[in-house]
Amino acid sequence: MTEGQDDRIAQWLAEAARGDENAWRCLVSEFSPRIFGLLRSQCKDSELAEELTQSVFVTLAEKLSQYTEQGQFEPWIFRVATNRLRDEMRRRTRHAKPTPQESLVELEGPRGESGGYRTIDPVQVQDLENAMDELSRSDREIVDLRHTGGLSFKQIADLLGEPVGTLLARHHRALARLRESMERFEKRRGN
Amino acid sequence: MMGDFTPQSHSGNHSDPSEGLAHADSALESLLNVRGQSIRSRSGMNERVISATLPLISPAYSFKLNAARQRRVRWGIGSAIAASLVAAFVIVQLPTNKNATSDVVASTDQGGTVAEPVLVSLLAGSEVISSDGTSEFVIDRASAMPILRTRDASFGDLNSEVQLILASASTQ
Repeated sequence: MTEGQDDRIAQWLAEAARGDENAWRCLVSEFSPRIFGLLRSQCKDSELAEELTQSVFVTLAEKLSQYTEQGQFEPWIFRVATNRLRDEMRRRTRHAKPTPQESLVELEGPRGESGGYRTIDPVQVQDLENAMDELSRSDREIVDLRHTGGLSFKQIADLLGEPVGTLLARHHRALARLRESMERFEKRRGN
Repeated sequence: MMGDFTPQSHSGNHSDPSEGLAHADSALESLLNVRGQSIRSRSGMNERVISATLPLISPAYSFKLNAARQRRVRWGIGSAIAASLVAAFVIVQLPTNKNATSDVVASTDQGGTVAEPVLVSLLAGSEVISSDGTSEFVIDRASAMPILRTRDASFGDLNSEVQLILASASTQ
């Protein structure tokens, strides 16, 4: 996150705390897709992910007047989101309520620079999803925070309370595992 | 196969110094970024979140929220004052009643120990019974002992005194 972006977020937060609707819209538009994506990737349930995303913003709205931005907003809001998901999954386990595992393979590709949708090879996406499923929960969380949540390594380190160096090493190892799994899947298909 | 993907820009900007160390597998990273961007999209979600939360940031709601917070704070202060008054009353009462505990009379009666009313009055929840036309106070061992133990610090030998009373009462 650059200084300019930090300033922009701090400004939105201050204005939204004074009741500025546009600033609130900007905050939601900036963060809700990233939070939703992170949660959706972790729970594989779009409905639940949206519900939790909404509850994160309810919490933010309620704490807005007391919140003082010191460059820690992103780690803070993502921590709220991951804690909320953890609590919900724990609650569901207690009540034996299954979470529907929706497939993330049929996702449409994001828009490329030309404005058209990019083609994602469904086989490759399926391999990636299967490889993600083979990661440990903590490794998957790092990969998701980085590539779906769009957080910097510094922010992830702040969020998880780990040194940046450790985090980089873990991310590197997680990617190596992903690569290894995907190559295994590809080889298996070739045989 | 994975080389088909070119790196995508994130909505989050990764500009900290650690970023340069983390691109060992750019093809895989860019595939993950593409996947991330796909997963983030959900039709109409932003508007739904905004419409559900917008009323919460309105000044009227903030006023209500602050009022509720202030009520909670006032309630907390009120409770603290009440607790302080009760504590002050007990502290004032303890020294004046100390002599009364030195000649506590003990005997077994309906499963409790009969003691001087002035001592028992210090013990919350003790039972009042009537015997021989006079009022007596019964200390329940289970509920009284923890209270007596906590009082002991400021009450000298009361704890050991009552222990003796209870011991002698239980052997009768």
